[in-house]
Amino acid sequence: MALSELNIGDVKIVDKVGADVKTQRFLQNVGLMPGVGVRVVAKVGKNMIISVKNTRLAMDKTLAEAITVTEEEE
Amino acid sequence: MNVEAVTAPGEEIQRARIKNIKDKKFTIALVGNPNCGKTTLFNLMTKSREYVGNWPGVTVEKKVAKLVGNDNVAVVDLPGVYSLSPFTPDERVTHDYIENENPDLVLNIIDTSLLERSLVLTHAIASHGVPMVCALNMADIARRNGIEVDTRYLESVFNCPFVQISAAKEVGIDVLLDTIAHQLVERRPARSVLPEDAPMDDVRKAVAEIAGKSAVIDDVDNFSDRLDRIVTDKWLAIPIFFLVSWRIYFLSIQVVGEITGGWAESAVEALGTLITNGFAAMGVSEMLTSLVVDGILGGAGSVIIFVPQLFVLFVLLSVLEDCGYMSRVAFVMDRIFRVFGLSGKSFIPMVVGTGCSVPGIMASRTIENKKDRLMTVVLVPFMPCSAKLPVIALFAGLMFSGHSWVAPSFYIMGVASVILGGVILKHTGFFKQEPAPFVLELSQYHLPTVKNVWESARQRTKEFIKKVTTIILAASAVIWFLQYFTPSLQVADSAEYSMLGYIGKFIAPVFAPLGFGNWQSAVSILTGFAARENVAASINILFGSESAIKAAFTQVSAYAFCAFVLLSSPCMGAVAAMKKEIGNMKDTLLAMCFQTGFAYVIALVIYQAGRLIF
Repeated sequence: MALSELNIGDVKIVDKVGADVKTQRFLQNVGLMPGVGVRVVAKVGKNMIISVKNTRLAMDKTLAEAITVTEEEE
Repeated sequence: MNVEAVTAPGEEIQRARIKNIKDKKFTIALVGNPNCGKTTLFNLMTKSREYVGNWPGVTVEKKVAKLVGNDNVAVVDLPGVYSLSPFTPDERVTHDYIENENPDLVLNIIDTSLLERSLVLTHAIASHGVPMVCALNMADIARRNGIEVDTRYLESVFNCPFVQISAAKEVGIDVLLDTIAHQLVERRPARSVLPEDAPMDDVRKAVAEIAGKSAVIDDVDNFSDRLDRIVTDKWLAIPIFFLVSWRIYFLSIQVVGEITGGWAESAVEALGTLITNGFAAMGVSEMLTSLVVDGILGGAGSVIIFVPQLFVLFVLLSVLEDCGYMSRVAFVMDRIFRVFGLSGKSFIPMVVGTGCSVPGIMASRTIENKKDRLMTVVLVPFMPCSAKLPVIALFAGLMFSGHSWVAPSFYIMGVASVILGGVILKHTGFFKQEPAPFVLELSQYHLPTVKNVWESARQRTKEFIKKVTTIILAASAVIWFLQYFTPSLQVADSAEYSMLGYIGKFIAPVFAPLGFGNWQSAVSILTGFAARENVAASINILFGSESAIKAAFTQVSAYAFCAFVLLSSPCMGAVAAMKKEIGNMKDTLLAMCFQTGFAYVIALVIYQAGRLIF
């Protein structure tokens, strides 16, 4: 399911990151890539703040919808 | 202690005090992830006062300074990077420096709480084989969050020293400097766990393992997270932001202005009377007296009285920049800006631009998307920078006393113009494109340090005073000269028949539809190109008295005049900064035409509509 569907406090494993090359490179640099755990810190509509290995990332709806997470909890 | 003696073979190696390095010149390069505290440490090591802010990407160019206490050691501050591969412009600066300049030592700064991803960069530096010292910064915050790092283990993996420090609290700096001195002499090359060309996936796997062995870093919901849920709340976010900005400008401009404005003005006036009488007693010519009193004191003096207000503004702005709220504002604003095709990231340069457009324009460099970046560069000068405040405050005080909304309304006009200008630019071919997806790293909130805030406010105030006592002083003298003499260099009977009067009258008709077709306004606008503070200075010199200003303007035309000064093509300094980012003169000129045309239309609408209503 999409990252954007998670609620505050949810912790899931990243499955796929669908974004342009530049964005994907940035996300990898800060540690967001398939296989790592993400935690939802805050949500404003579908824009959200997430935590990946202690890095806090703010992202808009488009990106949050393009990242998928696996169903099971971390 | 002689450094040579320390390294003599067979001798026990001791930590050398860095000031004892004398025989050779050394260069230390500061490298680290964005917002890990490089510049704070740089300022500490070199007693520099470089611009520090709590969001990623404050440093966009390399900066060089001598190490405190030892002129033989140069310290280079580089823009923050995640790896040594050159993709964005600021990444390239760091990459090229490490590749081509061969620093004697790399000081790798690591945000302790973000150890794992920092080790990717550590690996990249290590695989270059350059001597390295790693500083685990913000160790105090990490420790408070229960993170203990096994530095011994990291030292054995990378074959280089790891020192725990807190640059903001100035803890561990002595040990760090000793370690650096030692390493400069020993030149032990760092070692990487994998070859330089190892695939990134392998590097990340290896690094995750190292991080896991050296520290347990739990991801816990902390104070920053709780605060973020409030300041980014769907309903509260925007009101909080407006409350914060309103408070800042209300406090600095209104409150401080009311306290200091009166006596500062009387002080300048009293000084003028004193000089006039003194000069008369000494038999100084009337012309020279007029130059000093009407020209310099009337011009530059009328601007210098804004120093207390600006100082308070700069203090509050640096608190805002230092605490970490700015990146949240970018996130919050993205929701609104996106509707108009702009990125929320444009918002940080705009807030910075309320201090001065030049750093605002430079701050746009952190926007990765080229079109978003260029558009921000063109739009940032719409914000009311500190140099425009004297004009706004002058008219707000003179024409709108009792209307406290007038001064802040220009901030709203600035933001609205950015949005409107953005929409217009989007519909011209060049910028037509969806903004890139918004993603931004949020730093942890921290209390601003008194030192940072004081230094930043002091620095900016000093810049302002410097400008007033140089450019604006000179411009005031030139304006006085041009309005004292006729074109044939006779003393003009009235300023109207002076050289300036003729120049002004030639341009003035252009501004007649905007409500300020008098020659004094036209000339003031011209002088604003050298520096915006000049506009207030010129208005004061050319009209000569408050009553003359009141007679020449109505409330509506005064408001239109301020709007034009606010929005039209910025001062030379900002144009130079714009040109640097845009890259060529032709497009820069185009941008200036756009800004001035935009200003003209807005002022026209304000005056013509206002005239009908009031």
